[in-house]
Amino acid sequence: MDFGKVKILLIIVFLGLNLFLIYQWSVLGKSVSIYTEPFSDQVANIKRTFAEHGVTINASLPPSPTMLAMTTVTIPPVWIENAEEISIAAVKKAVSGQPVQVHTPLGSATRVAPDLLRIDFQSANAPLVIKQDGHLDVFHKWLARHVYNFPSYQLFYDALSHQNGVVEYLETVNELPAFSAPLVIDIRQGKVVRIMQTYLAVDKSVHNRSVMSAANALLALASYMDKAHLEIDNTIQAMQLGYSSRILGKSSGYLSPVWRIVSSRGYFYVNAINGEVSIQSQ
Amino acid sequence: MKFRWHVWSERLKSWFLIILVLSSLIFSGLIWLGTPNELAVDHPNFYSSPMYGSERSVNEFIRPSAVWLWTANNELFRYSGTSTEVQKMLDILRKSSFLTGKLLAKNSAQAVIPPKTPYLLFDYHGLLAHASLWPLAIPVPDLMVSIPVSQMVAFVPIEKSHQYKMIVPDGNQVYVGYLQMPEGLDRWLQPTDSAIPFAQIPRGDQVFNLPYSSLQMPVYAWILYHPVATHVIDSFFLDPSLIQPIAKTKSQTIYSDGTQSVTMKTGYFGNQLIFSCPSGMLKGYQQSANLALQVAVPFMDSHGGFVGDQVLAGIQNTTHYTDLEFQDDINGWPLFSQLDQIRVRVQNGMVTGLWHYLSYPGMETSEPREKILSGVQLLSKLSSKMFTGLRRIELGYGTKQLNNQLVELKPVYKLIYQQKPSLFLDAQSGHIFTGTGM
Repeated sequence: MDFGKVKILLIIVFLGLNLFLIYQWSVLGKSVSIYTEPFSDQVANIKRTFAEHGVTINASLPPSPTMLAMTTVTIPPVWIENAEEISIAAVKKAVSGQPVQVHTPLGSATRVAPDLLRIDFQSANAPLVIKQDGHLDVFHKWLARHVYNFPSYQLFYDALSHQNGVVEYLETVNELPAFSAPLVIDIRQGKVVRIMQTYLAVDKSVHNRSVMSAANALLALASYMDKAHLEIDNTIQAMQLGYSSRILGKSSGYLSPVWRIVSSRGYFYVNAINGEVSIQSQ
Repeated sequence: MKFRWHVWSERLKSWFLIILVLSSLIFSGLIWLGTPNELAVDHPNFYSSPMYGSERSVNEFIRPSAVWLWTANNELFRYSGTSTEVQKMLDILRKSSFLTGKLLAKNSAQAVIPPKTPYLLFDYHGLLAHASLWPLAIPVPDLMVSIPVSQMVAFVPIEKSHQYKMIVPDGNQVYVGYLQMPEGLDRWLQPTDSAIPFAQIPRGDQVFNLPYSSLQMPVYAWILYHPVATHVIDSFFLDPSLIQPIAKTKSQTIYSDGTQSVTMKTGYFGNQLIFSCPSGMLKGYQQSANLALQVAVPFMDSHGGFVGDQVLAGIQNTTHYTDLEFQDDINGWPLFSQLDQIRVRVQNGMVTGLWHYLSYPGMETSEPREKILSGVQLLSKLSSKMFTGLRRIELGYGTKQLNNQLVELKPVYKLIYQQKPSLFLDAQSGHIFTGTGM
């Protein structure tokens, strides 16, 4: 056979083969491309999943940073003494055995745990710090003088009504609230009657990891409910990203980023890195 | 120079062919590399727990602590709850059918066992206080009753019929149920060789069920195994790379990922493992003892398995949690020791606490037998002070550590009191037994 004709034949064959390969390549490209589910579809799927467990979602899904670090914290042994001194003018004890309770004319301090201090003010001596609900400027100035390391706390909620009620602050870690380090101020007739303060000193960041989104945290919770056969009517009311640890040693601890999910039956804490769930009663 | 079209067209065809061949190779390569591999969707092996025991199913854990046989001659015999005889009795109950039943007054004629009638008493030591456990404990199909207070259930044959009465005392009332029983249960109304003669011995206003004669019981010596803790610790966390030791002392280390923790503590028999995921109960959530057991057993199965013949020995069901206590069984006798004991806390349908020794008995080295005190001999050795507040006496095994590797299991009598800790007596001598981890 003429070699020129062979070449033409081969050109036709390879041309056909290349067209087939191009088609296959384009099909493959389409089939392995990542499908990004629209956010509204994600929310609808999550709501449907929770509805199977009798759970209604009334919360909006907040955005989250992509990366967060876990944080080690310490409980400095002198913080309670300093807090007692600035809140009720208790004199530091030089002895090594720490007293559980300290009494002064301003009030008394009780060391409930290594990281938790309770201050009870004598109501007669307590200053009037809130003259009108919603006006917390004077109150905050007072707290800055009487609460240990107050600038490291941020307002969490204000449940004051007619100058009575509770105002809660949370310590800030990496610009996020630490749910396990609250500062709770009890107010009666505009006067501070009790301070419950948990304080954790941030030590260092470890394990910088990607954080699961609010939607994925809800899916982790749904998976937990599946495993636990939790079939109980419930309503998810709010969710917020922050730090928490319910496991602390005597002088140190480990805070991890968590999604705090508020429901009508309790609080769910979903570890924002690995999806582990723990529950806190109301 | 003359343009030669034929030569140029041949060159052009050659180049075109080369380009086509090369491009076909390139596209083939792209398709080869771009095809996704099949993904294995499974837990990576690195955080699954090593298996050092065996997997068991839920219905193996509810066993009577003993089945008492009262013969027609008014003799008392004990069958161990984990014996093959009791297993066969339960198999027969599974084939029975429930006819009818009703609550009667305590002194009602139907509730009284006729004299000279042999019967079997299934003793569950308080497990039947949890109504949800009845289907596992009394496997009579379609049983329409679950009385959540009774300790013992009696099965009494009705003369000249294949029916049995099931009598369940409940305070001032008695539940009497009628069962159609297949053949086979009657043969257990005569004591077999493995039935141990017991006596009901009265002391003051109390009656104690104790061995009628001096039994020969083996004394075991076991070599302890101490498994490597690292992989076991990892298995409790979803991502072991996040684990940090948060508190370290000479005797214990706490590992945590911020949500859960595992504490390794040095105890009597080696490393104690304490898993904790601090939780509270959801408002309005109710958890039955049965559900807690259904959750706890698979959890243990997937975290090393069961190393002994544990049975459920105790339940504490509160509004905040359900605590289950599993206790090992040594040839039909309870092991009164922390060795092989497992405590599990269940909240909201999940395990949130676990306590047990990581070390476990592996090999048996010797098995001499010793003669123990009979019930009468034992009671004669007790001082009057020992009788104050005494509820009951149980025979079982106690542990004594001989060295780091060796544990001895000796027969002991456990004196259980109303309001004070139990007292253990050496079953051979009657002296106070100071064991290890009891």
